[in-house]
Amino acid sequence: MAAGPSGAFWSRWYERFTRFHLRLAAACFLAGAVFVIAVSQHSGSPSSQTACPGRPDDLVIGTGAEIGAGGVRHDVIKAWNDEQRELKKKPLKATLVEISESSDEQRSELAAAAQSKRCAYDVLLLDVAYITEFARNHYLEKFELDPGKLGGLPERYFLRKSLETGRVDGEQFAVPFAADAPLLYRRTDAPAPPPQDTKKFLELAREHGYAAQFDDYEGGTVNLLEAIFSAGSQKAEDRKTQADDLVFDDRGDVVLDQDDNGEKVMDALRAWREALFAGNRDDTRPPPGESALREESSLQAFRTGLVGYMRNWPFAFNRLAADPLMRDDDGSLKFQVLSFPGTGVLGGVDLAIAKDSPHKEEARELIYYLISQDVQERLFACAGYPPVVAALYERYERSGTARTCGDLAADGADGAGRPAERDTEITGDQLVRFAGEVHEAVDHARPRPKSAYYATFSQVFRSCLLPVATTASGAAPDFHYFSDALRDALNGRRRSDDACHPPAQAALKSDIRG
Amino acid sequence: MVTTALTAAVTSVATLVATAAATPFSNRLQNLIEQAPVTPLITVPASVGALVIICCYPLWRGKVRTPGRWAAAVAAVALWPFHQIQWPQGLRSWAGRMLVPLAVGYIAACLGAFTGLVGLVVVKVVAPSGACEPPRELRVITALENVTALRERAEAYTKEQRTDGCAPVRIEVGAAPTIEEMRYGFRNEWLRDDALQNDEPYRRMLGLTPDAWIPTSSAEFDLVVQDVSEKGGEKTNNGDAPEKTSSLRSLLHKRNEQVGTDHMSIAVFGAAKNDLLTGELESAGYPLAEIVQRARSKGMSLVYPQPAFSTSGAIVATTLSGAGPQPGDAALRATFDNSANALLCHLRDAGRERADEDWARLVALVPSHTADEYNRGGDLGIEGCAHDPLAGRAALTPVSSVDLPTLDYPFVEIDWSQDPARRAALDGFATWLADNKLFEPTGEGPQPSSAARISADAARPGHRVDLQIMIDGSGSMARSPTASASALHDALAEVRQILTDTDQVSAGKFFTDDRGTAKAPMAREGDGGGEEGPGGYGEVLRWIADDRQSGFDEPISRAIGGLSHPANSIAVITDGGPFNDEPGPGNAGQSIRRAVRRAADVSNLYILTFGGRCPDGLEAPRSVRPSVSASPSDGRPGSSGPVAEHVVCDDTAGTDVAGALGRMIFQFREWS
Repeated sequence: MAAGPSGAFWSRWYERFTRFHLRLAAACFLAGAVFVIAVSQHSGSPSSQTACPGRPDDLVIGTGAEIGAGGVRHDVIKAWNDEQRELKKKPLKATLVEISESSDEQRSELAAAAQSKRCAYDVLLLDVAYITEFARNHYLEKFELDPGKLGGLPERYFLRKSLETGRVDGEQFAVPFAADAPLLYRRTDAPAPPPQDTKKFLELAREHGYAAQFDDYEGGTVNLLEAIFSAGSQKAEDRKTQADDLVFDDRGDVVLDQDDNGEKVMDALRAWREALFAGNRDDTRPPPGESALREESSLQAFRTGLVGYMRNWPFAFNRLAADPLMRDDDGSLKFQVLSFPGTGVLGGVDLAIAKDSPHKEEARELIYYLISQDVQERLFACAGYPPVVAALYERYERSGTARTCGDLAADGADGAGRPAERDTEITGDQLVRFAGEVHEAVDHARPRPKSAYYATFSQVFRSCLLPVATTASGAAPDFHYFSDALRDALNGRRRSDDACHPPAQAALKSDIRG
Repeated sequence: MVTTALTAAVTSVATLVATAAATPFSNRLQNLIEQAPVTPLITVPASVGALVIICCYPLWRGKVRTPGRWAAAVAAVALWPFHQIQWPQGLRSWAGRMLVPLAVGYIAACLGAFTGLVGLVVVKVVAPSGACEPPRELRVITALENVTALRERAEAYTKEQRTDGCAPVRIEVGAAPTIEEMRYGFRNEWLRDDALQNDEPYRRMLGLTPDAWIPTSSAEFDLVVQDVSEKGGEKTNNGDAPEKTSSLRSLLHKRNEQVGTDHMSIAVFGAAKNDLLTGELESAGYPLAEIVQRARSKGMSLVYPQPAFSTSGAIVATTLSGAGPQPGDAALRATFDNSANALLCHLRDAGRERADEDWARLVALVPSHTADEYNRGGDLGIEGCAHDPLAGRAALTPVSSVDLPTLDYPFVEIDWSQDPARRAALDGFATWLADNKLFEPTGEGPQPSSAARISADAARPGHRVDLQIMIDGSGSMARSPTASASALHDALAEVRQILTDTDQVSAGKFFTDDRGTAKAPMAREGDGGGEEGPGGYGEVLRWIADDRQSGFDEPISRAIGGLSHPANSIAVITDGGPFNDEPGPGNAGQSIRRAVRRAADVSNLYILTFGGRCPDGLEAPRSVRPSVSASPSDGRPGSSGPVAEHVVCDDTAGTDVAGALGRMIFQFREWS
């Protein structure tokens, strides 16, 4: 076959192709492949200012509703804006956008905004339950904490466990803003003594009534986990050493099907069910089917004296303390806050920078401002946001008192016009005791499993175990099958059939996936 | 012919196989493409290529062997601007030597990059991975009474869509705000009209920003869109909010198919079913006028949700306005409830709290499916409303009426982000939902055929309110987590939608200073319609948010007595502290009553307590717990004797400040 012009061209090339060219080609081939892989691995979704057309030039903070009184969070942001106006010629105005009171709706909104790449938010105030999801899905910018700005190592500046909530796969994506762990609220005007250990508490709860959140929502999962974590925890001092890895271990692997963990879980949940529902001897409390409580309804049940004990988050303290119904005539509180009698689940809210934010540097500055000691102290005293700064707790403990909201307001320029009614204001002593209990609760709390699919895990988990904790007819699932379903759920997978099969049926369905 | 058919068949089969093979990976592939680092992958090879061409340029212009005419032609065009430059001979010679190594390196690097890319795609898309790809987040809103059904459907759809256990979408269902709020929200990035934000560093959203909205009826959709096209260029209520005046037609896309079918119904308790639903009325198709007449004769009341807050309430109000019985009829009234489910929840509470069967004399005008949901038990989507399944005398029987309309449930897509992938996901859900409808017609009685209508006027009651809001100015109130100034500001902004242009609203504070001197600073009076200007409702709101004066508790009776020009209706908002300072321990109720009697201009007093408890001697407002209004004495709750004034106290508001204010205004309207 005669070679054409193109054939002649290639043969000329081939003639000039030496060993050097071969090596060069191999090296360049390799470099090209490595380049593509490296670029792919180290870049998420592209982000730049040009990707946000029409975006107003301000610093937007996406958040849930305010938990405290008087718009303290708004005041804090306003103060930052004022400070920026003094410092900069063209400052960015920070604006809080309150999305919803529901944590689920807040998560959905922020995730959808990240997926649509509309650059809707610069800073996210995110429930710690969803930090892993947002980090692994590339919705968040990494946040390297600067010891210089914190005045020391981050590990010393923050509560250790709160700092951990922002770390995903060894890297820091979020910074703690408010600590959270469950507390036990006890009415002091009722004969409900402080419990010594979990077992004693369950007896007291049966007798005096206990409001906890065993409804079918994420809070229900948290309460179930706490009931299980607390199994076998007899004394508060034992909580650090107890073997409470009944559901998942420290690495997050599900261990429910190991040894007799399943049996222990069932025993624990039955004991809590007894405490929750069996103590209704005088028919003053609603039947189990009508007593599925959440945070707000628990608060109302406790406030109205329907129950003597309540499990709730720290936000309830300010709500109750500001309620004249919860004060005696002399202004003293009609309730006491104690650390949870068992092992709680770690909560909290973290600050993070959205990956597609066009104002990352300004967002970083704002975050450092929000976690500063002064701001944290004000948010705690005036609105009940438990601080994340370790030094604040140390100071409270050392001095035995705390500056109240009134004290802090009097220090500021706007405080002069707010005379305080001493009979209803939270005192420094009360703040210190409250802070002490929160600190202990955070120290002893366990984090939720770290998964980008925590919501799926939560759904599967409570679908099987909530009936056990709330109804007498709730049967034990096959724990091997259930554990596999939970492992799948941690990877985002749901099985097409019911994960709660009793043992005999589960064996037949072990391979089913939807 | 045969060949063509064979080719077509083979192509179809191949396409099907390829689609089936690719489907499991499509979500991952889509995510991979979306997250691909497009910029460096394009710019780096392109710039290297450009470098090579520039290096080759001198060769083309010199007498060095040209590698090909095509290359010369491309270079001639691309580098034409440089053709005047005389490159040094040394550079030409160097470029000639570098030609082959550069070309070889470039081509090899491109091949390597391509191979790497293919490898990555194979590894990430085809190879089994431990975790699922993140699902696409979809947000859908609908009226509160439809939320439970929609959540169940969304769960079923997601389950059907799973591949290898991984769901391609996650659907979050939220409650839709009111029609009035949506009118504003769709034009303003779904932000709440908090009025007069000015320099305030916060905004509030109307809940989830919806990707889709399922209205209760097409009439609701029309009202939202129609309003915008009519008022597109107008200012908002507060007169200063910047609006998007573009048509909502490009943002809201209503699909043709319905995703549910239901009708408004008369839901009557089993205990009273035979009293109301006679055979005679059944054969006539349960005409509303006759139902109301019979209800009145039997001492029963027909109730429906607040039209300003609930679409089904607005539908009932519109229907009633043209169907004979008047909304002002004693046996027919709207309650303060913001949804059909909230109304049924209150009926359940009434049934639980009363030993007699008075509660059974309440008849609800609600969508048929809500009565079924009520009977099934559960919480109706409302915290604290959980109940066991109901049957017999406690269960509701929904019957349709010839006068009550049908409800279609259209699916409306909202294209905020103009994201084709999101839109495709929504299309998929909408199509599925049309085949697996939220509701199918059920219940007894005639099948109505008229479509639902909503009149904006019917949603607003006619009685004018002359209201003076007196806010407890004590320090404890300022720290109240529920009823602080900012919370009151937001709540009052929210209830503006149930005020009419003729309503008058003013606000003030009452407290004593350090020396025990009574203080009552007043905000300016404004009309409820929110006209622009210093006299507007917005001015009142601004004052409430900004005024920082506070002091110690002052007795309510003294505050009322000290008003120089009181309005006809006084609303007191307090944390309960002032009750303790009333003269005569334990007689706070009587003391307050006496003060109202002495104030000649004041007819109505409504005390709203956040936190504390109402004192003995003050009754709860009737609308807090629905009750029969047949007897004249019941018709004036709060009045224990022949006096004309109404004095009530509500301590059941919880944290729902806006709801409590709405109930209060509604109660004033009934009294006016």
